[in-house]
Amino acid sequence: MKKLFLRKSNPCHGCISCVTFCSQRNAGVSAPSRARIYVDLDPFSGDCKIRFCQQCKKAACAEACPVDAIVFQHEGGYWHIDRDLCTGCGNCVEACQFQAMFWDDDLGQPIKCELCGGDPICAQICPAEALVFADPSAEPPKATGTPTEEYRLVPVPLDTPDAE
Amino acid sequence: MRSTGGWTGRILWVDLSTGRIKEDETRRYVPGYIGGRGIAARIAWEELPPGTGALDPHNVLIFFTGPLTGTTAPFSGRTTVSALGPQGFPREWFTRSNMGGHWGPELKYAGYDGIVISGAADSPVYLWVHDGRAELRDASHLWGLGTYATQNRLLAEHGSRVRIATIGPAGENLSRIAVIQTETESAAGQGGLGAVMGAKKLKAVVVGGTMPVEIAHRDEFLRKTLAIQREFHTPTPSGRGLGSLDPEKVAKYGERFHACSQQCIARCACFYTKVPAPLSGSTLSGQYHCVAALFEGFRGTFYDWNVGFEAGFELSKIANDYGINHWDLLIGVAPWLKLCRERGLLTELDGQPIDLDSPPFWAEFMRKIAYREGAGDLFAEGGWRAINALGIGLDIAARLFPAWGYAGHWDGHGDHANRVVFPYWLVSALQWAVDVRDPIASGHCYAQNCMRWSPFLAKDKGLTWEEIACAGAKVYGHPAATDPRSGYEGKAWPGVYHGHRSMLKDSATVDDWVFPRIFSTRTPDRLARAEGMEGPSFEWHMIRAATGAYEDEAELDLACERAFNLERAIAVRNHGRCRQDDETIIPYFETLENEPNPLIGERQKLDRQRFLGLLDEYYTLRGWDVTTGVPTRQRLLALGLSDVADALEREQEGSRPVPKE
Repeated sequence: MKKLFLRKSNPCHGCISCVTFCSQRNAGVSAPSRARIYVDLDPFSGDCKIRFCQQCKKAACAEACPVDAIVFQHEGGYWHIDRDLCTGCGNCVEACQFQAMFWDDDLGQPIKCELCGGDPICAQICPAEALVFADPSAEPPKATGTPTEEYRLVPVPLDTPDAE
Repeated sequence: MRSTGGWTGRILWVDLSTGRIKEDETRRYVPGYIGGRGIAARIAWEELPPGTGALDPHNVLIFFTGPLTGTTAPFSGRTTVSALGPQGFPREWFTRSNMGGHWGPELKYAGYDGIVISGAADSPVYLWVHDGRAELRDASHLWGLGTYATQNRLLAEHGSRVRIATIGPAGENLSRIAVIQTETESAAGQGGLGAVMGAKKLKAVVVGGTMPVEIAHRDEFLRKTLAIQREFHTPTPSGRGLGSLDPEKVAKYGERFHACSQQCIARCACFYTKVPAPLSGSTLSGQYHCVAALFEGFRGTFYDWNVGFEAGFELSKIANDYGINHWDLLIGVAPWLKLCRERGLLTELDGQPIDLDSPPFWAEFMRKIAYREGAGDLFAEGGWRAINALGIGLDIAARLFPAWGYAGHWDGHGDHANRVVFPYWLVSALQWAVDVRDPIASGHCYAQNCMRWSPFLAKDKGLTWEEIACAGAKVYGHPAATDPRSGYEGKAWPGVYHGHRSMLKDSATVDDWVFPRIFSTRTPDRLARAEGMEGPSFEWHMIRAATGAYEDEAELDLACERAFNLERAIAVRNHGRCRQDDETIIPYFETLENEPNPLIGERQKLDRQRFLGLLDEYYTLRGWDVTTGVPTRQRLLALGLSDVADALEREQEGSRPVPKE
């Protein structure tokens, strides 16, 4: 079963494309506050801590839910929130040790990564290939290393004689 | 009003003199002026009467995002800041500067598309904007602090998710080369806009929020931004690829790629952690790239000094903390100091020997600029003004500063850090001629693209000269537009085209280095494409899907042209701009280029007569009067600018001379 995971070396660049694409796909708007993944980006230390659901085998969120609204989907391999059952108590948000249960003010309910139904958009677009969607029991796929644009100064060498 | 697509719908107006804050609707300005720089031009036309100076309270400082800012559009995390800029020479032109980081997107999440700031506070204040609310707060505890300490204090106060645009001592002390800084390395750097904040006693603008950016055509926007982002995963052929991290720096300083702004997927900027700082004895972390690398120096090049990586890194952080413009210092002032010293024209400053290999020399020089001490008081006026006031090495300075008080940039002459050869710098010369600042900040793409994709910089990994010429002919609409042997022919076409594209990028907002996307090694005709979208139309596809406006791409082009002409009209009305001014850039280009076009073999220089002909051609294409360089009534009417046409006509009837500064 494929899982969404962060490459061990965490080569995240901090562009937060995963966050905006997630909210655009899943909430229909661009808003980090409505994304199911979050990057705690500290511009001064450079730290990029990425938070998203680990699809735990023994899920604290599901255990904390008083109405059993968080249900494992065996087919897709992810925990799903049943919107009709959820009462919006927020217990699951408190329970998650990965801080990957997010609160959506518009819904008045928690939201979480549900793997975009089987092809998470964050892993599709992560330019650093930090996020990977693959079978964790196998060797993680090698970064393709496809370089994106890269601009550096290339000063003119001085061997051009400065006539005049 | 509920938002239209791409916008929050609201603009914040802050009068610092009275402390009053009000709101206006973005829809007053769109779709006619696109966003960012375009909207700022309209506001300036309405709010900035002739005679206003950059440091007057009446100057308006405009922070504005665009319909793509804060969305999934690649490279869209930018903000344009506009105002009368004190760096401008010989007049303090209405200008703009663009910054990265995450500030612009966060402003939209805070509920606003832009902020217009007028007046001046009696004592230092900062503006706190969050979730549809705004308030002015006392900043006396922050006044005097550097940009890093200010941001850290405000992060501690408002939480780690907020983003901050701030000034350091250089801005407080009204340096004409003071920047507005955000995060560790991003800044609205050109124009001296930090001094505009300083004059207004506005220390910082703090933004944070949880509000969404709505999109008009959601599915289409998602699909298209995804496809365009993927297309950018092709390398520019002259890039050094993934292996370009330096293993030694990775081991010693944790070098890694780090986005300079939200949605930036390029690998230009690196982050370094705990770099030993030789001057202070501490360690420093932060981003470091582009022109900042010149602090370190490049032996064997025009920037032939060497302080080593660690001191270079520290010096760049010192400049950022004071809020001093890197470009003026490194492309203008430092080479001038070096050449003056070599020629014995100037050997010391305030009794200190000029020594660009000495980190303490640099640090002391920057401290004096920031606090206006000794010679620093002079250089706080910007390189061009300082050198002219000193009256030393004027011939050297004339080869470093093309015009308007700005040092060279992608022009084949004064800027030796970026390599461009004849005839490609002719388009740079046109861009410089008609602008009021260094035009290349959002006008890179002609010279940069042609050079980087051609055998000149890409060797055999890019396109052939013939392919460059062929593809360019299609994009620019003239067969000679990118032909390496074409000389002056057809260069007005890319000149006009990139004027509009620069406006589009600063208004959308999207990054300048990567847009417009033109060339590709993966298509038979060498033009970039993604899922049926033509590369040069990427911005239009995204803006159309985000806003639901601009059904036809020509409408967007027309809006760019409208805003571009309005900027020109402001320069004419407020500062008496005319063709004579434009021609002042000629002598700079009449010297030999830095290195020859390999297909020509000999270094070229500008031919005055032929360039005057090129200017004629450019004005004609633009619908500007060939004698005066002023937009014609006919063209202004075609752009829906009848009020502007009337005002310019009144101005010319009055025909009063505009006093030079």
